[in-house]
Amino acid sequence: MSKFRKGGKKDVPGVNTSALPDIVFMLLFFFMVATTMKEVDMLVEIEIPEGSSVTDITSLKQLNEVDFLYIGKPLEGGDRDVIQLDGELTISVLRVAKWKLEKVQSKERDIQYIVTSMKIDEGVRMGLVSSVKESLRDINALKICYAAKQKINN
Amino acid sequence: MAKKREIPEINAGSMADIAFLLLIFFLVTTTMDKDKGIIRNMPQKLENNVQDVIVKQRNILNVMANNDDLLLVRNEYVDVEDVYDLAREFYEMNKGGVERDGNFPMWNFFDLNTVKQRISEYENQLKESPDNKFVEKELESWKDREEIIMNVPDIRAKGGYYEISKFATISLSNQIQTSYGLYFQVQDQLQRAIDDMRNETSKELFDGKIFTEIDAKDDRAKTEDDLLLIKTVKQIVPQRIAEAKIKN
Repeated sequence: MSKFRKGGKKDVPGVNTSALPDIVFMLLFFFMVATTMKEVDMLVEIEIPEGSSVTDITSLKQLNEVDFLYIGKPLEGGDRDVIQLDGELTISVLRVAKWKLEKVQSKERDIQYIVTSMKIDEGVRMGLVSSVKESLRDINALKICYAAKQKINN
Repeated sequence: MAKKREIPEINAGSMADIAFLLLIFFLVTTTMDKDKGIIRNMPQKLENNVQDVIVKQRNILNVMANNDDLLLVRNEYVDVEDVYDLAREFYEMNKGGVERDGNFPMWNFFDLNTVKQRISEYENQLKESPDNKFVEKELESWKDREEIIMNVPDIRAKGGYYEISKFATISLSNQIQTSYGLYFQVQDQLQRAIDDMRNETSKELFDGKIFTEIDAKDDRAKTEDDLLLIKTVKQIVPQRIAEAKIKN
């Protein structure tokens, strides 16, 4: 009887995958912690400006104290700048105030503490931007944020 | 005689599939990029017509952007990048109470005696007209100054501090066709100038602490010291940006 068996079929042992769920869960938790929910699907084309002294508002977003509105050219049809409020497109500034009031109703804090973050394309004209601001001012939604990217160099 | 029944093991083979499914869901519905921007508080809407306040030309930094995206600061054409330097020059020309140029805002020295005198003056005025919002606001700002002189060690040692004129204002005006890109760049340059000056002030008075870092803290995480620092720095380097009504 020899110690080393010769011949016979050699089976490659199957890879042990019992740790696979653990690895995937770890990845999952990483993504759950490191990312935030997308607010909405974009219906307008926006290239937000770059700034060197921007503030992070992620913590406010997690407290649900930020509403987002977008201004830019529509992805489909038209060359005119439009305002996107959640899933709807509008050119009416009055609609903005109505939308904001609806948004605030579901929140605990007073309207003047809720930030309106405006993601506006660089090419949009100030005429539209200031009338949007003015309509927010009318309903006392005074805290606004001009969304921007952090400039890398500098 | 019953045989002990063994509990069958749960098959965990599909656990990985479930986890993958969740993972892919999160990958698709979330974004990595942080939300950042410049935060601004708009002034409250005024109900009744308020009388115009005449402010000396030296106290205003006029920044105008026209329909062709040209920038005019104090009646001279400039590039956006220059706004930073111009804003700092505007604030710091007469810093420390030395009158270097009469075309820029004054810096005033406040000591405890003047501040106390002003407080009693405004308190008397408030007794006469209890609903006067303006007097109320003034009184509050003088009380802030008293708090600063009493509580900030460096300032108390000197007996007072210099503060830029309360009329010093940056005035922004645009036209309808001005692009948002330019408007934002102007705002950004102004913010950077003010942030830098505030940081320098807080470093000087509060052992190298950085204003923007402390101001960015969550409200609930701010300590008494933090609040005093914020109050002091904002009083010395105020951020007053007025936006004119848009022109055609």
